[in-house]
Amino acid sequence: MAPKGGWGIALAGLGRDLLRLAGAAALYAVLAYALGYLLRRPALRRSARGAAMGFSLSVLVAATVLWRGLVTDQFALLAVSGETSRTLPLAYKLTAFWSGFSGSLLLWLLVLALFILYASLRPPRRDPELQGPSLLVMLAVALFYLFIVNFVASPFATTSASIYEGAGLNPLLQYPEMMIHPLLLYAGYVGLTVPFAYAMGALLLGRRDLGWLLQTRRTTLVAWLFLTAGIALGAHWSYRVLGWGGYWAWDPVENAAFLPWVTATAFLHSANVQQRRGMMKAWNVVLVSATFLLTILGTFITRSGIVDSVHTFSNENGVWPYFLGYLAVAGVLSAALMVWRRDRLRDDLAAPGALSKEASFLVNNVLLVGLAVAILWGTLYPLISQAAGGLPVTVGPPFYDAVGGPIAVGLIVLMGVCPLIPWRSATLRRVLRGLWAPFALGVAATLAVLAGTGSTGLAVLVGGLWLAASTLGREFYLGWSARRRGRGEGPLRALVGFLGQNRRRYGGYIVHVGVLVLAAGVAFSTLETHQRTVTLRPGQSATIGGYRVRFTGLRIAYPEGERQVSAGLVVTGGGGRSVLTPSQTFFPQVSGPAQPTGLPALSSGPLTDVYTVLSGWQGREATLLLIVLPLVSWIWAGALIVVLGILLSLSDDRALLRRKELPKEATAWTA
Amino acid sequence: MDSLIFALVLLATLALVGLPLIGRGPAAPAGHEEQLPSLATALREDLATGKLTPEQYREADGERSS
Repeated sequence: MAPKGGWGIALAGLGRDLLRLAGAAALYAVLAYALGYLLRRPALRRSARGAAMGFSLSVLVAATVLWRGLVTDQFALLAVSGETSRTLPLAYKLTAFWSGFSGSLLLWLLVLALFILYASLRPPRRDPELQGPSLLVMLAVALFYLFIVNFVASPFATTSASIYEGAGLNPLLQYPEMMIHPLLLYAGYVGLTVPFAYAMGALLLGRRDLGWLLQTRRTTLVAWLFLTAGIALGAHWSYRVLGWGGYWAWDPVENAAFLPWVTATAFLHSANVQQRRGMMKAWNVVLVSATFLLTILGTFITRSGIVDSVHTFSNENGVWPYFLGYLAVAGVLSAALMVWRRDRLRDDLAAPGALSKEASFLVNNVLLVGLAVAILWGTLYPLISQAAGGLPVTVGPPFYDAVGGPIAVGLIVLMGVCPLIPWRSATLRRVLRGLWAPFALGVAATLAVLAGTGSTGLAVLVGGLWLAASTLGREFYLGWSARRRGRGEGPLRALVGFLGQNRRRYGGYIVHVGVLVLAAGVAFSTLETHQRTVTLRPGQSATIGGYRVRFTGLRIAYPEGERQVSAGLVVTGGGGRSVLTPSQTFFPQVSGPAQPTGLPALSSGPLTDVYTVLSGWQGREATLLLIVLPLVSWIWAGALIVVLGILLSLSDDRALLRRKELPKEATAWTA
Repeated sequence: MDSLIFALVLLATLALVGLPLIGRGPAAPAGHEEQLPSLATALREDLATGKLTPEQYREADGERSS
């Protein structure tokens, strides 16, 4: 057996060779597909499909090689020695794969390789000819990342120095959420490449129908599910671990994940309009392209270090010019394709009535895209300002709250109104008939909150939430009671029955319920938070937001060899009593003295969280940050409901919409 | 061992790329032939698996034929 360092070097060589092979296969596949279509040579296209599978296989094996290096402590590989140590638990060694810069790019390729393998093994059922051009687009996307991992930042870079122990994984990242948060975000990012690739493929083929849209509905939903869960887990980790008392800081990298989520949400809504009414065709292609470009921008912001953020990797590899160039090329090519095929993107029907479901989806899209533009502007403004020779500027939460608050209220009100408006057109009288009761409830809730808290913003938002909740509740009640009456079923059986009957529709409504619960949590925990910093001696107490916090003393312990200082706190109030121990742990550094890392302690309830942080100590005195946040648990519960709603909607995979829902163009490809 | 792994992946890739060029290899997916996509097949599959009732099938099939 080769010595350890030698084995690591050999593994790295294998990994590099496999990535070169993957690059060659992808390049061949792109060229063979292009020539296969230009020269009308089906054999060349079949060969390209084989190369796509070869690319996927090479990337899968290359990823396995890196995992093998991580698990067997091959510190000759920089991606292993920089992110792990011998004592790191196995689960963290496995997930250290994507802790570093080059490994995270290999993860991106790995996820894309899995999507490409799936797409090459299963041609689209509704329009099999879409397979070739869609694979061509996905492989062209892969080529960029292959270029980076082959020529700019290799995950298989090695050192000739003899390293006995690695640097270890940042202790802040050693939490279960952090193991899968990047994986989910990447699966979401890469998943959103699939609808883009099919849209571009349909344009290349000159399709007029909605085959690409129907084909990618589930992939888009799965990608959106991953992105939603990834963002929620990241927020949860930030809240439980970072100790600043919040879950969302409007940090550039957080925004980078949120931006494609916003545009993908808009697309999920506008896709409905194209499916039902053959409208918003061009808009859907624009949205799906913008979403794809935002995922590149997100990776660019995260990986380039160009914007200051707690999340960014440093620009050690000078990688940002490549990302910027790629973004520009991808943007220009997709725009050019849309202009070239603009005659295929004309809508089947003229503009809808002002009071119609189509119009309400349009307003929804305007609000969501407006939100995305504002966030994008806030994220990039510091860069633009600096590039224009100005002073470095930071755009903070006040900007995002000021813009996002009103848009959020608009979207929530729309959620309440939209289910009441039919397709095509409606009379004002009919809409008002359904709306008056939810509207009255909303106004009553607004007045009640205004009287209770005096906060206008919170009052308006809660009013909107009540309006939307009562409309959604009415929809559920009508469906349930109709099923009970029609079939004479018991309450529970009727509930399961009516939800199962139209899983796509009710899955969507459940997602909306989740969003309402989440929005309530965000609103209250942002606007009704109490916070204070106190210095206490043992036995002294402080009160905050109806809770009493008594400090019992400092304690020093050495769990797993590291010095840990913790404060004992007894929290009483809200009908309960809990013991909390916020702490600071001194983790050893590669060089220099051990640095303290704080870990907050919190007591979490359905209505209120008490959040405590040990900020510092002097003798026996402790300085503590105390925060009382209402309804934070609702954020996590809301995210969970959203996920369940998507799963219900995903389970509905009928090939066709019902006859009444079937637009004429859905049959166009059989003509 | 490492060389063997690389050789196997390389061989598999070359086979996947080369065999279609000499008219062999795995059967091509329907998408590579110039044929009409099979909406009818999708409908029949959905009927067989119970996702569409016979009535819904007849309606959708009638719409397709018209």
